[in-house]
Amino acid sequence: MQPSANPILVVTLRLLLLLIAIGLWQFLPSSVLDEFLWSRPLDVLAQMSSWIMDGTLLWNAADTLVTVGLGLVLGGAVGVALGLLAGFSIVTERLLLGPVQMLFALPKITLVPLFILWLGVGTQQHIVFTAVVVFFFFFFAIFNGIRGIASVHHNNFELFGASPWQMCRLLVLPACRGWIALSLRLAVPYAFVSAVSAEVVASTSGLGYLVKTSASVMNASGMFAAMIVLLIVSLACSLTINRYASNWARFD
Amino acid sequence: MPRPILAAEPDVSRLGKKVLSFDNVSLNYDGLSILDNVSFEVERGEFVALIGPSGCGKTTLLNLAAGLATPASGTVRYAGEILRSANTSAGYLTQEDALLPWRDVISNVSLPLEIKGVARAERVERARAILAKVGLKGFERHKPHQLSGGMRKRVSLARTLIYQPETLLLDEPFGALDAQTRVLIQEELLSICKDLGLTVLLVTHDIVEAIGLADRVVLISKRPARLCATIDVAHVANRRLSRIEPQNERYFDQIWDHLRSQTGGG
Repeated sequence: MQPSANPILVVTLRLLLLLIAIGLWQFLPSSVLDEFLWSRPLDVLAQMSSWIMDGTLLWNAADTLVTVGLGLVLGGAVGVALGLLAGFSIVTERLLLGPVQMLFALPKITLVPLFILWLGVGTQQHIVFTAVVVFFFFFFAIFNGIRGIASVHHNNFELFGASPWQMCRLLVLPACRGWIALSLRLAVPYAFVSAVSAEVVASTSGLGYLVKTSASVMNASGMFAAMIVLLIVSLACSLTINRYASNWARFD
Repeated sequence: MPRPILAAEPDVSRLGKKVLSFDNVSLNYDGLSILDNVSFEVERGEFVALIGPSGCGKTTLLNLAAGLATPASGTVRYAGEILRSANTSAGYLTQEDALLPWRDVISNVSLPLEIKGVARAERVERARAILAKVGLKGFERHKPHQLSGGMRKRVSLARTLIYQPETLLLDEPFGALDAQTRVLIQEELLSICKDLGLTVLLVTHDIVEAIGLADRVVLISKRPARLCATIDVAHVANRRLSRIEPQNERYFDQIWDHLRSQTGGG
């Protein structure tokens, strides 16, 4: 058996590594690390605090969070609904599974120009794109969840005289809880990826917008500041979801 | 010994004499003939055991009686009506564990009532009563995975009885249990069935179980299943579920010879 690492040692080493990286970033000479392209930690910090002061950061982070949230709700609802429908009978399975698998194979980023055409460059477009990306997680999760329910349960519910709606509410959805939790855990980071991707392509607000506009005026500090905030927000959301989703999915 | 009866007993008077009748039933699956012209009847209040070699289509017969399968030819009638959809008058207890793992014992047991729209208070009350009857008082809030195999089987039995089916379909329900637990549950089941006047169709491999529980033992051939013989054991005295009394050994031998002839072994 491998000896377990001393947690204090690990944390100390990690902090040390981080400090060295930040120190190198701050103090390496310009000949090695061009601050015009790389910025410096203190400049990034300065950019961040000025954005915090004038509300830029809060406003744009809120915009991205709304995109992620609404995208998850929309994509999740449609994914669960169509997944239930696909699992409902052989006919609906044949009808839905093929088209969904085809769309799944499409590199989703190619949809962004199309959505811009339809919906403009605003938050709407980012929400729809995010919803499309996360939709597949929920669809396949529910579909597989239904396929995994032992037929003895279906038979029993039929003998108890359950309606299709009762079958769905009392058997299928609870049985798919683990799958839904898993797809939520996968979908949250992907929702950030897709929201910010859509924002980077075309937007008027959001953290992706900050990255894009900073890059276009060669403001390396702004890019790093926006990226760091994005990392923190995305990580915080993922960790929260992981924690609640796994508790929620447990049967015992 | 008089036993407490369920909140309400199923009204079996509407059933008439013949509860279940199979009439020249045949069935194929994937080009394989499973049932070949099977005809038999189960009368009201009767306990019939079907016994036959493994994979002979016994479970298919139960699925037909439950309305979960339809025959290719012939008819299956319940209370005189041809079965076309799930037979909601029947309780079906299978060998597999069919409890919902995310529900505790009491809400598993009361599930059929929940589906029927019975109010929560009444559901809980009836579930408590029936759990006490199958000897699970105090386990209401346990989850299925916290129970032993025998206890889970009792919970399944309670869930099957709570919606007061007129007829029980039992598919080797006690196969996976240890010997003592099996005998205890069998005895309980028998007394509950007699109390409530339930009609029972039991599929089993277990000859002692068939002789001990049933009024009539129906012998089935190997696949495709045909009816071979019926042995009336209702009159047999001193039936026990733990062993065969010496004077009843001839029934055991008769069934055993049948099984051996059908499995092709020596």
